[in-house]
Amino acid sequence: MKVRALFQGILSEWVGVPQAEVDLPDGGTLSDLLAEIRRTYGHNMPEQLWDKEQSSFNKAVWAMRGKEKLADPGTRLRNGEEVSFFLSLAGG
Amino acid sequence: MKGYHGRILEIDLSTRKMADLSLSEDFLKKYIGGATLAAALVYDRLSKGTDPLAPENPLVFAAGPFTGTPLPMVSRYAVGGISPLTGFWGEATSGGRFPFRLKGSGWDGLLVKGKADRPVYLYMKEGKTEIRNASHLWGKDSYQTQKAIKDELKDDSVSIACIGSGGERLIKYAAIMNDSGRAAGRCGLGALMGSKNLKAVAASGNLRPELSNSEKVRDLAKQAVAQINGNLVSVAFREYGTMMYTDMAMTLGDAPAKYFTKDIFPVSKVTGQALRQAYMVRNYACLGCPIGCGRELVDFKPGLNVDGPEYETAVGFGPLCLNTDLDSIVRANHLCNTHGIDTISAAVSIAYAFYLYGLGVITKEQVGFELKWGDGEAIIKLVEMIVAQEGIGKIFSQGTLAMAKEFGRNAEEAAQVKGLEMPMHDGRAFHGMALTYATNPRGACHLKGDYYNVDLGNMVLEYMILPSERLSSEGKSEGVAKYQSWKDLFDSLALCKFAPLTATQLCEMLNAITGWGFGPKELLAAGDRSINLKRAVSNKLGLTREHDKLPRICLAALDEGSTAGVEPEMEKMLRGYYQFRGWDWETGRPTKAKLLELGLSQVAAEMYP
Repeated sequence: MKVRALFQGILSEWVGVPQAEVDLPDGGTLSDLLAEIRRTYGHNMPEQLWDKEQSSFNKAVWAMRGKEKLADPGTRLRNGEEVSFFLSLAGG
Repeated sequence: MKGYHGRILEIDLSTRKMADLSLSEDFLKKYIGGATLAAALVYDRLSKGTDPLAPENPLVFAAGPFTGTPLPMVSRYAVGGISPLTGFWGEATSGGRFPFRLKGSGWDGLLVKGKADRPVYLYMKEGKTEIRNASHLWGKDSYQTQKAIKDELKDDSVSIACIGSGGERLIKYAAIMNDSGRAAGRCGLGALMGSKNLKAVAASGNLRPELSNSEKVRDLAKQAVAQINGNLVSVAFREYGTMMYTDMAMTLGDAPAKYFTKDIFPVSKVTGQALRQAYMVRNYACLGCPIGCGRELVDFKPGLNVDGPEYETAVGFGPLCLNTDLDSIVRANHLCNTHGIDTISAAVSIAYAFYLYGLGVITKEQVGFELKWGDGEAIIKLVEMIVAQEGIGKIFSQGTLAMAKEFGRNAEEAAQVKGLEMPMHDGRAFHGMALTYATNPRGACHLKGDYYNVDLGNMVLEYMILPSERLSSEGKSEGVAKYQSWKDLFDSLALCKFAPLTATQLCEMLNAITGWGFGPKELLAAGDRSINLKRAVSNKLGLTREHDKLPRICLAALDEGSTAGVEPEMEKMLRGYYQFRGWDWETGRPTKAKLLELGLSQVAAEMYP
């Protein structure tokens, strides 16, 4: 199945692309999506952006499906869905 | 005493007398330093009904125990006094090099009272201070002033805090500028400086108080630097400055648009990325800071480097005025810095002018040109008119509350709290921020604290300040009160708000510097004491609970965007806040029991004779 990952704001520069269409096996999860993003774009990212222990983005990155914040890496994704990644860092 | 010089330089500009004001260790343990030390000194010199610009009103510059040590992110100083804009307690902080030089001059700070008979500046260097003629500097802008003083003193290590024409003309939101474009911007303390004919303070030297445990301080500094560098927010600030948050803020409904009546705006043209794409940007850092969140735009115009706008400024002159023209935002920022006025109050006042023009309350004939939302050139002209005190610009230079009064509008339309203009974090997007604005000692202040960060997941576990639903008013009161006290400490220790350090770390640092035995509980109590002391200053000047409110323009639910239909429940949050703080609901004052609990017995005796 295909899932579209959207990288908002400065994440698009850190990941290297504003969006990516990712092939996942049917029944793939958020965790699978993250692994694929890391495999393809990891070389671009600042090391602080990736949490090696959790195999996930830094906790400051939110994954959103519509208005739903995806907190569980085991969340199943569906073909054609979009997952937006936001950097929840604020200041100033 | 370790970590402090134990003295403040007290100068009466009317008599040109100077004296050292000794600070005891007990006094410093209680008030720590920075803005809190300033509040303690101002409180003792207040009388009810004091005109903020009266010569007897003191103006205090203060460093903290962290200032000048090897710790990172500690080149900060605070300025305090009665705000000419609000009439209540006013404070502002800034970074750069000046804080290190102020401390290095041999004092923990400077208290200025009186009024010089002609313009002067102070030259403080390693235990000696001169009052020097500044008549030839009066009329020079903040950049020219700094350069002229440097040329005159021929002192490579000197750093200068000064006013531009904003302060000279007593503009109510005049800033104090230092190290090129760094600003102690809020509350109009530049006007206080101008009212004393004090053009600048030039500080120099490298006198460092002895530290209790230098080796430990160095170790803690090393750990802190590694921690700061490993933090993602440091990377973001270094690469994009505070404007890195602009697009996320708009997504969350946190960045206000069209004078607080919208939260939808094509923000991509005014982000940190957009700034980097449009200009040659280099970052600069305050002394000892491993981040460097400051922006400098190289060759903005041929041969002219300018300071890049911060998030607050970019949103203020951008979305708040429906302006997508980044170039005009940069120019407006530069104009404000050049002449020394607060970008937040200026931008909000200008956005209010657009709003009033749209309603037909003010006309083209009054302004001299059309005010169409989003017109960047009109924004520039209005900043110039404010600075020059020209035409209707003179009214806009008084802030939104005075504007509402002048134009016969309801004060609920003035985007301010206690007279201080609203910053660019919308209380509807983070209800904790609405409560923070309503209760902050200096009025609408986004720095004590930045509660939006808590509800974005940046908890303070040691104090159990935990995230909650940002669009709800449930369970905010206690967290907001504790977080204000926590963030207030940063301005006492003199530490940058962006330092991602824990209470335990700050205690270790403070103890290694001073030899004291602070734990997180005592540290937070010092923050509580500070908030209550500043409250007492304002109570003395007439502050009541009626002043703890947000205007309707900043509360009324919006009809679209991510906060659509949501309105903070202010009274509910306030009641919980008052209860937790130990403040009296009827009078708006700290209770006697609370003051005594915090060791503010003199304040208690005066407030409850």
